[in-house]
Amino acid sequence: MLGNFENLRVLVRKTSEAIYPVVFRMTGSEGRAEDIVQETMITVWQKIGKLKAPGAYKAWVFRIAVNKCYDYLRSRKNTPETMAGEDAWELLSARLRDDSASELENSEIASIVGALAETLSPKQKAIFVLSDIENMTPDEIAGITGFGKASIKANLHFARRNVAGKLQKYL
Amino acid sequence: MEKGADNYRKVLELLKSSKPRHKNPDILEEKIMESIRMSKAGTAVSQSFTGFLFGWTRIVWIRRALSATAVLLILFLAFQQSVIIKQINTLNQRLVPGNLGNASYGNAGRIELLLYRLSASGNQYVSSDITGEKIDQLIESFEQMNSKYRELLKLIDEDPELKRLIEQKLDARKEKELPEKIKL
Repeated sequence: MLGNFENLRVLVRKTSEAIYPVVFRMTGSEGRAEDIVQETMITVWQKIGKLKAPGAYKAWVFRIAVNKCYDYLRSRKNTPETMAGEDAWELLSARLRDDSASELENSEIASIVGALAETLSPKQKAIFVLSDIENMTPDEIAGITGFGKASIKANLHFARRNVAGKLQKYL
Repeated sequence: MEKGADNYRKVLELLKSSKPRHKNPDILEEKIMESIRMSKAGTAVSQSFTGFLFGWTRIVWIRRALSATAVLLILFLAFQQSVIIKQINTLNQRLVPGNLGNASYGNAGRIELLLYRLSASGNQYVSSDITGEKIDQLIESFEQMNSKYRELLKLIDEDPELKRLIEQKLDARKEKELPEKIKL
């Protein structure tokens, strides 16, 4: 029993490390990302018996996490992004000029993603983050979110155009 | 346009190369393990309570016996229902002749009861166009006839001569009818 619990601890560590970046980029909040990772792991623990193929574990976990993020984005649809604004564009502009290529802080990532996706719908934001930042294919996104491939492509096209328009305007 | 596409690519590269990390992965791990422990404890309590209440339903022979009993009960109920329906139909057919002579009803009540029962039993002689007015007329004429009949009986009782005469007439009529019946 203790052995099982230790194995579970390893699984929790590896899984939470894998899903945290995606969840954070989608939610833009450390606290909310932590909550969603925690909820995801509890769901995984409760439903892992239903998983038939061990090879499908990664996609299954991402599906749970991304759906929780999507629900969160929909629930705060009308709330403006807290960190988006002039500061985010100034930060982005400075980082693009700077060639030192140091990694962004969590708050900077949240600020920039928030500014880029400010006017996107929850669906478009989810697809934009999964496709263009997380490098997932439309098939993978369809498998995780349950959206149709045509819908993914259309929403991604709209999101890219929107983000490009903003970059042209502010940078 | 090219500058815009270049900026787009650079922004994405910047975001891709910057991987968000939790500040305290150990604390997050511990929180998750604690939540799982709590959810496990909750599940264990609810499972043991459910097991205590309904655990016996998992015993194979009890499940089979309960299934068989359920089937038998359904068959019995279906049979009982058919018997009840059959008996209701039989009673409906007997309803009209059965209680017509009941003395507890008045004359008017008896007629109303008769009409009601005839219509309730679906008797073909009761026309559906009998109105309340017609029933009232019928009851009124029956009561008039009844009161006249009683007056007549009273008159006969008060006059012994008349009574004797009527009895003689009735006797003579019976005697006359009797040979005819014997012939038949």
